[in-house]
Amino acid sequence: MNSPIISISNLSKRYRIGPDRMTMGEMMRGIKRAVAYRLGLGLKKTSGDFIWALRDVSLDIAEGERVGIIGRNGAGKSTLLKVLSRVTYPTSGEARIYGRVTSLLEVGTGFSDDLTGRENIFLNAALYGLSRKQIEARLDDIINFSEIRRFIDTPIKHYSSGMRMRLAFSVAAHLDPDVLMLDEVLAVGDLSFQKKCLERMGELTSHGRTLLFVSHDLQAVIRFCNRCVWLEQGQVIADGPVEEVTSTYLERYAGLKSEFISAAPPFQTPDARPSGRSDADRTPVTEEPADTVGEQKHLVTTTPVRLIAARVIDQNRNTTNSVRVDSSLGIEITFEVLENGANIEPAIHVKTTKEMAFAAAYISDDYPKGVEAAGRYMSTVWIPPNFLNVGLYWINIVLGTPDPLIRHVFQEDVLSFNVYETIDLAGTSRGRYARQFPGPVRPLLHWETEAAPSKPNPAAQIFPQ
Amino acid sequence: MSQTMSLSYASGDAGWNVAPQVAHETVIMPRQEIIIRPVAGLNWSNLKSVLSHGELLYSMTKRQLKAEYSNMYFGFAWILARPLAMMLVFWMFKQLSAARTGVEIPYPTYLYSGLIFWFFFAESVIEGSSSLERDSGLVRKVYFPRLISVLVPICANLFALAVSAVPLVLLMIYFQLAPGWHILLLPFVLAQTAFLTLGIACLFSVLTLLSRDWNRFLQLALYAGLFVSPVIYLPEMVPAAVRWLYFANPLAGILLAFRATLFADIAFPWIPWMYSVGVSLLVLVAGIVLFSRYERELLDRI
Repeated sequence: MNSPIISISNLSKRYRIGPDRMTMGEMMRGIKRAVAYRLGLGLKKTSGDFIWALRDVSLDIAEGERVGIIGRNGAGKSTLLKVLSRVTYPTSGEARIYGRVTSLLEVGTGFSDDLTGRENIFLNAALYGLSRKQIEARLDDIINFSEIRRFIDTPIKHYSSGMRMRLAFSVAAHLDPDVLMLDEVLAVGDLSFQKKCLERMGELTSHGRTLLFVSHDLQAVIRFCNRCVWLEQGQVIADGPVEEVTSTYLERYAGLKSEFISAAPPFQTPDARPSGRSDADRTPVTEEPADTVGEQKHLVTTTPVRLIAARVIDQNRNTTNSVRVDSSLGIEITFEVLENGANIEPAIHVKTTKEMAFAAAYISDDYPKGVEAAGRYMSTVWIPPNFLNVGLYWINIVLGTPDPLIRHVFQEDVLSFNVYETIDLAGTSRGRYARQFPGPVRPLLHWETEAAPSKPNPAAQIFPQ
Repeated sequence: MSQTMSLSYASGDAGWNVAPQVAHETVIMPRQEIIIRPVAGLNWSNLKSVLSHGELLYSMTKRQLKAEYSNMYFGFAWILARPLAMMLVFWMFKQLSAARTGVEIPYPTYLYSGLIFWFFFAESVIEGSSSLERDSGLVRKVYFPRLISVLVPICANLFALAVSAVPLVLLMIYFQLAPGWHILLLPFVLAQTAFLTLGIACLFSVLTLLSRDWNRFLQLALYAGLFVSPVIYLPEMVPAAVRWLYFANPLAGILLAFRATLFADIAFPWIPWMYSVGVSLLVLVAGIVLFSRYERELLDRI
């Protein structure tokens, strides 16, 4: 395996928030504080309000990887790119890049209105560290790529914004960097030029160039990148194949359902608050046949059990929607048995995006024949660590009686969660394989290998080669 | 057998954390390692990379000159306007007041040579010290050695100095003044001036980012400096008792040396010049050390 081309370890960046310049009083206090700190008088060195734009970010990016960085506004995406571009410096941690970097944090950085297109090419390319000779060697390609040869000796103040963009990207596309960093720059330009840029990007990356791409456009990230890093509040919260991370991201902001609470009012619960009663005539959201939904009385008499709530929990019983592959996760189901002697058992179906993974029946010594007495119950089923594959899972919840099978409640996609793993995670069922594993489960199984006895194999005698 | 099977399984598709094996047909530049660390101490690699950015310095200087002088009928001729106008004013004062300046060469040449030198120094320092803020659009978006940003105004003003030397040559021909062998020292004097200028500009570009007070202070100091330095008169006008204080100003020595290289009639001021070379080098080192130490920290404030 190659050593990474970009290696980031515990990178943090802190910004001070508040007024731009210190007041005189603050400055004096700051000086006093600094002096006191030097003299060891026990005062803290720093003061004021800070915001961590990046916090302990560690990533290894191999050569040729195309990494998309996603996250909401203020998640630290651009800060990460800025630090890697050396436009700003980290507060702690370290990053190493082996090779030449070109970063386009903005279209047309350093363009000067008074210079012609040609002169701006020289200025821009020089800004990215090219020598005159190298620029001259690329000049024709750059001009051809930009498709604005006619205007190349016109001062660019007369250019349209699209023409500027073309010129800027043309320069950037011909710098031949080892690492190309782009921040939301492809959003501009007409479609045909965008397509050309994408082709060029593909060309660059297929030649082993490494790409770092920050965007809000998840589709663009999916298209250009094979790996995706999701930042939230300056921290990496997901890192993996682009489809996985982006679908989780989409789920999150489309509402990944780590918790379910029934919209129906609790029936026949003595501790229900009076205010809850006023909702009694609201249609309950259950998966009952449509003809029973309308009438409350009918519903009550035909369903001996109701699903009250459900959630995905981690080992510490905290609600979660992302579980690391090497930790166990629980599905906690709260239900209310309305009739005595119904022998209710909960069960779950676990599904991936594509397929049904497995169903888990109720096996418990506490209630070996299901729940008989009416009342409210909470069951938790634990999925062991290193069992599920990484990716998104959906949960169906069944509340039923096994024999004869009656599904009193069958609710689909009640919950969903993401199972993820990070690159540095050791001792998982991935072994030493790098690729994505197929299938819904990826259990950690026990292997035994020993030197085989030198006795002749009877099978070999029967079927000689 | 089982091993080959597992291998084919592993290479079934391009794993996302394994680099695909890519053959490099052409390596255009040798790979160098960039290490990004928190601000601590000096950044020598950053300073060294200034040397490899000659084309950038050239392009940015060109950009500045074009921005300043394009779209004008007179263009670079405007460079001459200020020193010529001021020369006329001071010369008129001298004629009207019959003041004795003690200058051994025709006064207009003395004045003009002093003024173009002074403007070179003052403009470079003012522009250099605010260059980081002026180039903030660039500095925030792309990495390049920031020292380039401070060097650009100095180069642009060196060009302006070269342009303003044309009338000086005409004046010298008119007054039949010739340089002596000391003209050979002119490059050293200019280099020393550039060093001093760079040092001061570096110091003040850091200070200006801390507080704009320093910008005002610098402007005031340069304005006063025009009269405190031997630009329009000879240092002999200063009482001998405080002349040592007068020569504490490193520009006094440079100005005298500058003129001595141009005019054979003026003796070369070895001792004040050596002193001012020393000060220039000190300021240069201090400026660059401070600049490269704090430039990174201050970038976030721009």
